[in-house]
Formats: sequence, structure tokens, C-alpha cells
Amino acid sequence: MLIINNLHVSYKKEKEVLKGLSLSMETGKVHGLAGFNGAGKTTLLNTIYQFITQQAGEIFYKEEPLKRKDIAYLEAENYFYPYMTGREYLSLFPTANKTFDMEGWQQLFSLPLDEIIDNYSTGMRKKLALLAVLKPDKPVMILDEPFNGLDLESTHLLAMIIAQLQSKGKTILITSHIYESLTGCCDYIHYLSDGVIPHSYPKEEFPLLQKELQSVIEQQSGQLIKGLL
Amino acid sequence: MKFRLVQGGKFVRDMPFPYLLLLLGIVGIGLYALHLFIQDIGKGLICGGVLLGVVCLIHFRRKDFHFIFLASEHPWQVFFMDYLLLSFPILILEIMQGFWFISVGIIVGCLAISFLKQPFHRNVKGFPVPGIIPHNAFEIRANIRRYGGWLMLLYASAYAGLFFPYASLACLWFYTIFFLASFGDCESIAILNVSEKPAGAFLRNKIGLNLRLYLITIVPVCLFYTLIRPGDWWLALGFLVLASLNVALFIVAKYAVYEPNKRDANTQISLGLSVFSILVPFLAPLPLLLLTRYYIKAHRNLNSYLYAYH
Repeated sequence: MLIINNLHVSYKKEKEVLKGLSLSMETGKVHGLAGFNGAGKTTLLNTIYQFITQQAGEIFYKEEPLKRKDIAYLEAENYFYPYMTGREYLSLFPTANKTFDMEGWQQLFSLPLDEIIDNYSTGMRKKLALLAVLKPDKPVMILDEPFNGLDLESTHLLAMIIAQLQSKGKTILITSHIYESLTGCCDYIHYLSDGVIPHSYPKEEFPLLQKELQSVIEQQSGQLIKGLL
Repeated sequence: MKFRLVQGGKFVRDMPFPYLLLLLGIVGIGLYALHLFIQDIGKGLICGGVLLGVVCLIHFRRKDFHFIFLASEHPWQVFFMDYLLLSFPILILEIMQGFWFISVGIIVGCLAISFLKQPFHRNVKGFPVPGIIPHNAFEIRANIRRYGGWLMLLYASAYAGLFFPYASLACLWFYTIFFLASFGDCESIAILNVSEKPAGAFLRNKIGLNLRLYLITIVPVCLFYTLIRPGDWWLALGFLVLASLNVALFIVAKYAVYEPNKRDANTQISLGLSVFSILVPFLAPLPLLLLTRYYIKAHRNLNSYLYAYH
């Protein structure tokens, strides 16, 4: 299990973003993180990755404190060093298992690995960043908005890759603004609201979550839209 | 025109007074030298031609081209005004020498350049990188791709210059400046984390790798220089030491201000002075002092990113 206990995170002089968040994630499953803009999704991911230090709380993986060395993190925005080729970028990341077949991945994603990354499209950059996350073969994978910028084919490929990773026992945590992409590949979706996770939904309860999200949106904005139009 | 004047005013106001004086001094000396140079029509034409060449280069390399092209109804007016402002001092110098027709030619040239279009999609290719440079020296590889032509030219000139006093070392100095440009951009957090090492070990590895690659290229030239001019051995040795200190300094200075994906991290004037320390003897202790200061800052700054690897 990946267990988060009573996590408190706040930025300097600002209000608390995570307010005693607790969560248990079964290993070898795909976990989605849903929440509105500003709910604290990226803060939670950054804290798990130990990018941000929590004021209180602990994170355990298989009953030991989670180490950054166990995590691969795909950021929502992908930046690359200027004048670097895709192949150079990938070669920086160590291969945990010798079976990582760079040419095979290049064929699958149609990436021009010997070209400078500055010439890549948004989707190509996302795919390259994803390959860099896959290469070290870490047991915990955090994918922040992995579907952003991908075309239809690549979105489907990514869903297939996630399923394959799950079958190999990886624990995957995904965020996405596209609800359908979460329901399509997750075993659980954790709903983050006001700095805590009030409820986690297993696959069979996804329609319930959708209804709850819709009712919150309608409550918050329904009257405003009627006033505007 | 008004916008550019406001921008210029802000630039002057934001600049510390001593640097402003220094800048004015450099510009003043440059203009006076040009005034002395433009004595006959031939030299006036050369000056005008070079200016138009520079304007053309700027036009095709400017990064705001597409923004201005889309945002302005008459983009050529914006470009023309920029180039006119840039050419203004030389236009005045040409008129002062009585070459008003060259000034008219420059204005017409600037106008014509303003109508030229940049291609919307341009594939960056870059200079080929030698295979012997390891992939983890990605800053050097990227820099060769960007400035490889200059680096090759200066390196070849350093060998050719062995037969003239000091020429070799002067070329190596310029080569070092281009080499130091490797450490201008900050990498992403994904690349920073690749080594999975704490701050101290990370910095030592980084300096060791890049310094080794720098010295591999520069030591042979210094050795040949010493063989040809044995009396100047101390010059070559001094150059090697100060240039190496500068390489280490530029690396730690980058990490002292490191923020993921930040561009142009090494723009501090103190670093510029440090590069000059190779040429000016009384500035010689500066790189060592700065290196100590920036190493401490870099260590502290990197700790906030790499503390998880302690």
C-alpha cells in the first residue's frame, strides 16, 4: 500500500493547500486524482515526489517512508534543454532493466529522436517526456496530465501503456482534466476537494462521482451562467 | 517609436549608475573610433554596408517577429522604426562627414529589410557534435550544436596563432567565452534528478566532467605554445588556471540561481568581470573569490531540490 497520513502543506504566508489529507492507495493499481482547478492536485503530487516539504504528515510505501528514488514523475508542463536531441535526452536517464528498446518505442510513437527537441510538436514533447519516465522502470509512477497535447491515436496508446504497466505491478497515480480519460484507465478515483480527499471511488462507483462533480458545478455556476446569458 | 523610447528609458532607469557610466563610456569610445574611421567615402560605404548586414541579421533572427507580424496592422512600420533607431548614431556620423547620400542609402536599406518576411516554420539543425563527448555533458553538446562554427573557427585559429606572439592565447580566450555560454540555461528538474546525488556530490561531478572536457581541448594548445615559446610558460600556465577557475565558476553560478527551465541564468556582471580577469592581472583573484561565494550559494540552492537524495 501507498499510505498518506494527515498531510498538511501550505505555501509561504498563504493559506493551507492540503489540510490533513489522508489516503490509502493499493499497489499495482491505477489511481486517478480528480478535483477542480486549485484544489491542490499538483501540490499533492509535488509533495509525494518530495518537491515540496510537508508541514506535517507522512507518506509510506510498502510500510517504509516513500523515497524519491522509487518514483518516476511526469510533469504537466514539459520543458527540455535547448539544442538537445530526443535521443540525447533519453540517454540521460538510466535504464533499470536492459530490455528498454529505444528503437521500438521510437517506432511506436513515431518520434524523430535524432532531431533537436526545439522542433518537436507539443504531442511529441509529451511522448518524449513519457519515455523518459518509463525508462528507469520505477515502482511508483506519477503522471500529471499525461493526456494533454496527445492526439487520438497517442491517447489510446497511452491508455494501453498504462494498462500494461499496471499488469507489471506498477502503482500509478494520474491526474487529468478530461474526466473520460480517468474513468477509462483508473481502478480508483480519489476526489480532492478543499485540501482533503473526502471520498475515493472504485470503478463501479465512477458514475456516482460524475453525478457529484456535475451537481457541484451546477450549484457553483448554474445561476451565474443564467445571469450572463 | 514612443514605445521603444519608453523601453529605452526604463532600461536606463533600471541600470545601476556605475554600469550606466561604463556602458556610456564603451558606446562613446566606439562612436569616436567610428568617427575617426569614416574619413573617406570608401570607409563610409563599408560602415553603411556592415550596418545593413547587421540589421539584416537581426531582422531574420529576432524572436518577436511573428508576434509583431500578427499583432500589428503594419508590421513593417515597427521593424523600420526599430532599425532607424538602431542606425541613428551612424546616420549622424555619416552626415557629419558630408556623406548624406550614404545615410539616405542606409534608411532605404532599413526600409527594404523591414518588408522581408521570416519563414513561419524553421527547423533548427545545429552544428554536428563529436561522438566522443558523453551524453551526460549535455550542456557542452547543446552549446556545440549552437556555437559549433565559432568554437571550431576559434580552436583552429588558436593552433594557427601559435606562430604569432599571444595570438593563440587570445583565440583561446574567445574560445573560452563561447565555451562558458554552455552554462547559461537551467535544465529541467527531470534532468537535475537523473544522477540521484545530493547537492555536494552533484556539483563536484558536474565540475569534474565539464572541466575535464574543457581541458582536453585546451591543454594541447597550451603545451604547443610553451614548446614554441618556452619563455612564456608562465603565461600559458596562468591562462590554464584562470580559465579553469572560470569554467568552474560559471557552473556553480548557474546552480546558485538555478530554477528549473530558467533561461539566461548567467548574466551577472561579476561573471563578465571574472572572464576579463584572465587578461587583467589585478583581477586575477576574482574568479577564486567568486567561486567560493557561488559554490556556497549553489550548494544551498540545490539542497532545496536534491534534499530527497541525502
